[in-house]
Amino acid sequence: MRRLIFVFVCAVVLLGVFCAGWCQTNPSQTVDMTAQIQSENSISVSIQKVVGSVWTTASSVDFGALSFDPTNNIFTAGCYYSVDVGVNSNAANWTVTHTINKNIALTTDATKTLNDNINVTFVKHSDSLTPVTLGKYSLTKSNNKVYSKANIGASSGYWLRIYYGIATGTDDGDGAVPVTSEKPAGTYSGQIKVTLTAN
Amino acid sequence: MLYYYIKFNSVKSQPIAQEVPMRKTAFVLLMVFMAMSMIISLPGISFAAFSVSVTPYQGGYDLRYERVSLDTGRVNREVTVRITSDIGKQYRVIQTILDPLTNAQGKTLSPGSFVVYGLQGSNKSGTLSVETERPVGFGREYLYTSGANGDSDSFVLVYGIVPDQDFESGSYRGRMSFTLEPVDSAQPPVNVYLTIIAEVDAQPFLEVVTPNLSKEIVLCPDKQEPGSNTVVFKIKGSLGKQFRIQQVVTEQPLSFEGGFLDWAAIKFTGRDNQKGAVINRETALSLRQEVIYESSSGEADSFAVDYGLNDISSQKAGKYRTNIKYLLDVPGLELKLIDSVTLIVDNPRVFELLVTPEAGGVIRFTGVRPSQSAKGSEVVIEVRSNTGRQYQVSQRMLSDMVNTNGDTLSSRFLKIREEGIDTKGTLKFPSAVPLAASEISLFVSDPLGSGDTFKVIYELTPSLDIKAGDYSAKIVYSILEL
Repeated sequence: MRRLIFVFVCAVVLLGVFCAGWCQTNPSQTVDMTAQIQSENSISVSIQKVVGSVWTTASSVDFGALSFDPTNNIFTAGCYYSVDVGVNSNAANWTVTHTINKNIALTTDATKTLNDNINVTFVKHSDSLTPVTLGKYSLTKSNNKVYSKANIGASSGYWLRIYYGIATGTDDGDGAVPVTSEKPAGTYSGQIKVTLTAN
Repeated sequence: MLYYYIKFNSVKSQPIAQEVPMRKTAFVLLMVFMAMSMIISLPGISFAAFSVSVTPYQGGYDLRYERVSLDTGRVNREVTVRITSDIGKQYRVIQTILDPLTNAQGKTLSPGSFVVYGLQGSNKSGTLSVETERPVGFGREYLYTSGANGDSDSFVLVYGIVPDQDFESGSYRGRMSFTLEPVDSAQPPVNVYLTIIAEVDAQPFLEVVTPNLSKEIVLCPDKQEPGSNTVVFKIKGSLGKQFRIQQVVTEQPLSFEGGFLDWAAIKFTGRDNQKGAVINRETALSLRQEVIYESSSGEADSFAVDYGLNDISSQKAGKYRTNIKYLLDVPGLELKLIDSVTLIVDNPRVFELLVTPEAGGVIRFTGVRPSQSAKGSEVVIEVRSNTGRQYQVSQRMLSDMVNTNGDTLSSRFLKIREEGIDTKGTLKFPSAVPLAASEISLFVSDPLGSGDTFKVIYELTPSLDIKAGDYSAKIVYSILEL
């Protein structure tokens, strides 16, 4: 009996010593970290005029006076344009919509347009990856084309590049045809709109 | 002188058996006759007068001191010595201590405590040798010498007991003799004896009162109870001369673990002195012998000495002890130990972490626009430690930073770096790195485990890849002994 009591007392003492060491907690303190990220939805457009291999910054897409190609009996341009559309949005999803805000029409006759004579090529660009063509259409068919964040790129470093060029009869976009001599002479102008929609 | 002739006639005719009783009877008768003759003739015998008596003024046969203490101060008792002499010769009175004043424990009054002087003019003739006070010493001490004629005389002696701080309580008894002896005469000397009884109440001259009976002063940095750090000195009796009280610390305060407490950790100062001067500036404890009190003329007084702690947060935790001795310093005498106290410094274990975000309790990045440049938010981390052991500070993010939609703020947009603030240890991130791991070590202290302070700077790099929303996470900072 005495031995049992002795063993019990020893056990209690050992347990006490163990607990004393175990219970010696290390001080700690918990702090909240918060970050309030505001929504950002903006779009930036950068226009480059490309003549041969020379790229120059431009403020509008202006093909200038078209040259007549007597061989193919069509009017051609000496340049094309690259419009980089950067999306600044941290929305979960967004879309970029390409629309003809105003037909590229003869200033003297709005019914006469170049909408079917302009190639519009949508390309997914990034800093490091090979560009990916998303679609190539006539301006008419590019109207209301929508590209989402998933199409263009889910993170920064991606952007949408849109090439505008006069159709040449070769490798033109869907629905695009060259400008023939049937087109009335004059100045054609219009307006393209790129819209960012966050959702 | 008378001469007696006694004649016995012999009776030869009587038998011997009857002759013996007759002789015995005659012898007895002869003896009785002679004794009666001597008694009858006594008045006719003449004796010389040569005697001495010693009479305490307070009566009785003993020289008695009812109570002597530092409170009573010196106590005097008078004794009248009377000499009757007609021998016509000069005589002397000599005092001899037979048994010095001793208590039951065998303690003898210190030399100089028992003094004597003769009261001037108390004798009619002759010379009193003890007109000036002197200690009652061992050996024969001439008190008085008569004139050449050896006339009877008397004189008064004053015996005093002068208490000092060495007194021990008790009932002291002693005995001395007074010897009357003639000069140049064959007259035998005469001795009388005087017993001395003194009740000594030896209250200490100086009482050192500590807050507890165990004579301990316990100093705690946090919870010092009023008065628990004060030693009160009560100087009860007048010492009669200037003195000082010195404080001596025997050793640097030492913990059970063998660590020393810095001397500068303990300070002391005196107060509440009435007459003498007390040390009145805060002084760090040291091995130097410090005069804590100086009397003006040795009178009764009292004062207190307070012991306190300076900031000991940098001192290793532990219970430090040392011994403080108080010494009585009387000029011309050896230093005498009055009392001693044990000084204990109870420095509790401190191992604390204080995290102070600059934005008041939260590490906050507010109004972050994706187009902005990087934003920072600082946290000051202070570790208070006196364990003497090396430690590390770590952080653990309990989760990613997630907004209410469940979007996660990627760790690549959140960086961490550290800056020292009088830092003794080692910072783990002196330059910014992405806060990738959920649990990281931020800091390792110096090997001594010194307390430290440093700054953690979190940098959020805004990006369009961070979806809008309110993100939050919890970070647990902890310290751990290595």
